Amino acid sequence: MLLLVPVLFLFATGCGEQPQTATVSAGLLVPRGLADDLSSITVYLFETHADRPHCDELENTVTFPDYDGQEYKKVTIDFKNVQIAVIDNIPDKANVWRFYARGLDETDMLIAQGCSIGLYRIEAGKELQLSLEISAVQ
Amino acid sequence: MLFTKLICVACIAQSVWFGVPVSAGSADRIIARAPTAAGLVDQGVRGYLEGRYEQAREMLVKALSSKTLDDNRRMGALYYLACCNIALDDLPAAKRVFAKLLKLRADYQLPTGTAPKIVRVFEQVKAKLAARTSPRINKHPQPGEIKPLNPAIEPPVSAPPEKKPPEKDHGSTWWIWVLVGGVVAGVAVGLGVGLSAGGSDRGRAIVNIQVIE
Repeated sequence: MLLLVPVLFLFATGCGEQPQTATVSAGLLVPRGLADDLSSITVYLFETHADRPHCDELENTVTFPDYDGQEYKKVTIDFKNVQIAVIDNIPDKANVWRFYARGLDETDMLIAQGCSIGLYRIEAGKELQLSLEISAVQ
Repeated sequence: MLFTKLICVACIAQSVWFGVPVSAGSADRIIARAPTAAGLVDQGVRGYLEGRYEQAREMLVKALSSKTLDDNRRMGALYYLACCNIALDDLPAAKRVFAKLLKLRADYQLPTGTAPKIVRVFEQVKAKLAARTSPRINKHPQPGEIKPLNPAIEPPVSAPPEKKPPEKDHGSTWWIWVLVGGVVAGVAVGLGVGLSAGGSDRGRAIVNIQVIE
């Protein structure tokens, strides 16, 4: 009986209650002029270090940055059939992230991309709302 | 003739065995010619009783040198020889004689009415021999009998320790400590888990595509 006390306490404090997670609600804005040509959109979350990668680095389509060992999350959305996508298992250690999205046509050509304005700190128990707009690649 | 011889033999035997002085003239001649050990003992005893200590000692020593002397007479001779030595203030000799006497018979008892001076010497010898022959018994020291060899390191004498009041019985409160320990351990583990949970990968991003004009 006495041994159950610490176990119950541990369960209540550590295991019994699910800790609040970080939730990010991102609105991906797609101009209607691009919607007819888009086949898929890939959304990336880059954990930034010293404010990198910068948006102009991400938008350099020729040399898509390969940040060695830099952690990122991504999800690919079938634009024709899916409207909502979820990126799970994002580390919520209060680190800073940058959002980036790129749209491909049916031949996997990059036709649109966009970078979020500013950086976002993803922290457990916090909710974020942001918008990410892609625009046609010049 | 034969009767006369038998009477002489009986008188001689009586004088030797019982120590009775022989009054017959023929017997005196026989004793004077060949004094037996027993006769010497009798003469020595008589000399001691009459205060002729040196003569008595001489007679007794001669009698004791004979191997034909029986143990009873030998013990008597030794006793009177020791008495003669004490009378002559030769205590060491008297002790040696008493030692021989006790060696012959360890439980020898002095005759009743023996002079206290003689008794003291006899008891000294007896005690000395008893100390030599008795086995040595090492008694285990009783508590309090042990004394330190070096008085310098003798522990200081202090008042007897005060009786401490009986300690409280902790048997009825042990479960409280167990409970406290369990709670502390649970808090520690819970905090650890909780803090580490902040580093979990449970963040979620929901992307909602909106087509704008």
